[in-house]
Amino acid sequence: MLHKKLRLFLFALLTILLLACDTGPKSGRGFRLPEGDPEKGKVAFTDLKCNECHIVKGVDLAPPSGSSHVMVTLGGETYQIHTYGDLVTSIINPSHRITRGYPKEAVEQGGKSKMLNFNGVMTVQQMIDLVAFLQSHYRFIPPEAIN
Amino acid sequence: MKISNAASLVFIALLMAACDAGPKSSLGFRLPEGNIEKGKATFLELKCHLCHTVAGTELPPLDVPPSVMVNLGGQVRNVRTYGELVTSIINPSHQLAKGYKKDLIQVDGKSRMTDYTQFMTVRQMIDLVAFLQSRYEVILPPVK
Repeated sequence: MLHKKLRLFLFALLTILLLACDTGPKSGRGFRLPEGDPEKGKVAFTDLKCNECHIVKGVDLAPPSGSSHVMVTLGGETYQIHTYGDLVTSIINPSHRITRGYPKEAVEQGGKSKMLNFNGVMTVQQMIDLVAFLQSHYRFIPPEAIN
Repeated sequence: MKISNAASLVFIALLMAACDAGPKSSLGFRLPEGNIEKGKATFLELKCHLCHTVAGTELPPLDVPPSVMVNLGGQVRNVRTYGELVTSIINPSHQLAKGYKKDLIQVDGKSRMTDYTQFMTVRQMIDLVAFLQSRYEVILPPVK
């Protein structure tokens, strides 16, 4: 009986894992970003005026020049590792997963992120460096063991 | 433990290794939709055709062909994911083209392909991937 349950569990786990690492044409399998430069990433961050709408924890950036609006915080302590896959997606495809913890109307419109699309002006190198910059400001905290 | 269970565990371990979830992993990577036509235009604009042919695609002829042309597209046994294509475009040394003489395509283990990351916009990269992906055809191994 226990044996059967174990098998069922293994099967379920396998299915979930297989779904998680989808390997179809529209998958990130094989995606490897070259090394970025966090310092240049910080420069790109202000060059592209990301600081108008974002705060980066632990980084001194110029305050926004425009009218008051919601600032989305990046970096800081996190319980989930922010992979470079996640970060690239958030930069070049922000509507794929809209940030949580903010009033909906402040960050989205018609189901799409309010973030501007920078893909036409951002070079690939800027994207790589931005990811290195942002990744260096996240600190992963492993969940505490339950006693 | 039965052999089948042990085998399952090994299989799971392999799968977990395959979808590495560390900071330097592709987990969560989702490319927005690209435009195939614009990708083709970008291909010419960035002069990729000086070193690459694309299966089933007419590209302007070259006056002086290089010592080697690396072919893209065509029939493949494995799906070319957009993850792989992005890597080949922006990080060409990660996995060098197979089936070519080493000294023609690499120097000191690095791809001879020019680094375009400074000149290429993200939009161009997305469209290039859409263009190239449309030129690959997955074929199944023949049934014996």
